[in-house]
Amino acid sequence: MAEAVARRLLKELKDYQKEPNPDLAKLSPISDDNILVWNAVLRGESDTPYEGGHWTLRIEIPKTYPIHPPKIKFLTRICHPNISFKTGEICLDILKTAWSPAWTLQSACMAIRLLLSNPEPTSPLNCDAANLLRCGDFMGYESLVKMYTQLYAMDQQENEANS
Amino acid sequence: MSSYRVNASSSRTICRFFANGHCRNGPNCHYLHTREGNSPRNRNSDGDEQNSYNTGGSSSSTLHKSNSNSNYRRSNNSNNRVPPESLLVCKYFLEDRCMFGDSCWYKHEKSNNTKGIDTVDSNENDLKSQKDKQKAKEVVVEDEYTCAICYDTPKTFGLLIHCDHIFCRDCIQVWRKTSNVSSPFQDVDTTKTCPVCRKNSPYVVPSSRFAKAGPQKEQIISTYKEKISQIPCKYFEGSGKCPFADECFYQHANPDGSRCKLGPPKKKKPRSFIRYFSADGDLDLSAISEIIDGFQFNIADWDDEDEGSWDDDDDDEEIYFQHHGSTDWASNSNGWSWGIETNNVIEHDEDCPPDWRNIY
Repeated sequence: MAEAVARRLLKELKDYQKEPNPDLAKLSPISDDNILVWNAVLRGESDTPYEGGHWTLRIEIPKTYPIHPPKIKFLTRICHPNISFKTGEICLDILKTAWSPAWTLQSACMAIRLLLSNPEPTSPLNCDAANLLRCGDFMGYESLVKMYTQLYAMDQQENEANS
Repeated sequence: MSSYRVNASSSRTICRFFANGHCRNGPNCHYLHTREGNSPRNRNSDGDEQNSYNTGGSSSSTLHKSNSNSNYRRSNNSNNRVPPESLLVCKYFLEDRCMFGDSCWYKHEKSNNTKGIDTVDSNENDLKSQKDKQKAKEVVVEDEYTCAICYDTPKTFGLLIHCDHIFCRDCIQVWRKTSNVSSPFQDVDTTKTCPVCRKNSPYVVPSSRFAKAGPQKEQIISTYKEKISQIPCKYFEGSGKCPFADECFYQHANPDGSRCKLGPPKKKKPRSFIRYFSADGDLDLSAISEIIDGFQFNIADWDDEDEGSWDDDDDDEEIYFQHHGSTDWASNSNGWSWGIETNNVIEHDEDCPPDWRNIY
């Protein structure tokens, strides 16, 4: 089983390296020794309050992958109704009940990126952000998100550029 | 090498180098230095070349050497100086690197035979080549079959009824079984569907060949059904009952051999939510607390097929957890929602503005 996971993950890695996704700045295992833990870097979608931000995701892959979904969480702090501000945990059905083995790590990351611009405030993990949306205060929501994007996600980009 | 030569000297064979006029051992040679007619090979090579030939130093000469040894004697005796191999074309000559030149045992001509046939039977050949290309394409296409789960080429395909996506039988079966096994979060509704297109598929047909929707696939499915209809149903054999009743593909045979009619299968309630109760009907808090960490979900619409002790009418004990992913919060609002969150981020209904439901 473990071999099957490694084979599939290597193929996914090759696919990504062959055609790098412009929206995913990075997608690779964190070390050569362990292929079951990956890092990904998301680029914020343009024309959204997340524009210009870079968020690092940590992907932990179970040995039963792809039958069971990978555990993905944000390492970079992000303000979003469905993402825990403190732990980075993501509430997304495709990472839980609606997972399908036809999904890949890349497509899962792209789904998360899509979640950023399509928040679901009715099942929040970040109540403050969700409440703004629920009240219809879109201006307030956008400025809050922009602030946190500049505070955390832009810094990281600069740090990466410096290092 | 030398010991071999000593042994060989006992057989009084003719020195083939002497026959060519270039034996470097001269009178000390272990082989007979007698001239019987002309050598078939008037080689114009110098002594150095002979030397390398003798010791087998040149790799390109080994073929000539090994093939010519036995035939040389034969041809000597029969005085037939053309060895049978001369019918073959020298493969070194074709590569323009035969060191024997004209004296090579093998044919030195680049045959135009195939070209000639080409011009004469060009039509036939075109057809043939087209067929070959088609075959090659088919082979390539077969190689392109990759299971959407393991990304390998399936040895046995698992065909789904309503779509043409490709899976290994084992992969798709493991996926379809996950809802029953360990993961409380895997929804039956998703595992019984195609992982790619989510089309519902009541069963999987194992097949050694892949077939898209069409007569071929229908035939595979019908032969599969025919085959398993010969196998006695394990549910029916044990108790005379089968949860699938008349929709079961396996054999439900009466003692006289006719198919036993059980009527339509009992309809199960949709098992979209998970039930965590012990056998005596009490809420199994330990089971819930395990999965509650970081999760909120809805338990409702119990499937009471498995546990007879659960009284379905006892609505008071039903507990609704609101699942994060569901969008019908408002429609479920009759039940009470139970916000549970680790890491001190707590969301409760009370935290929300009283009229937020009107917004969404």
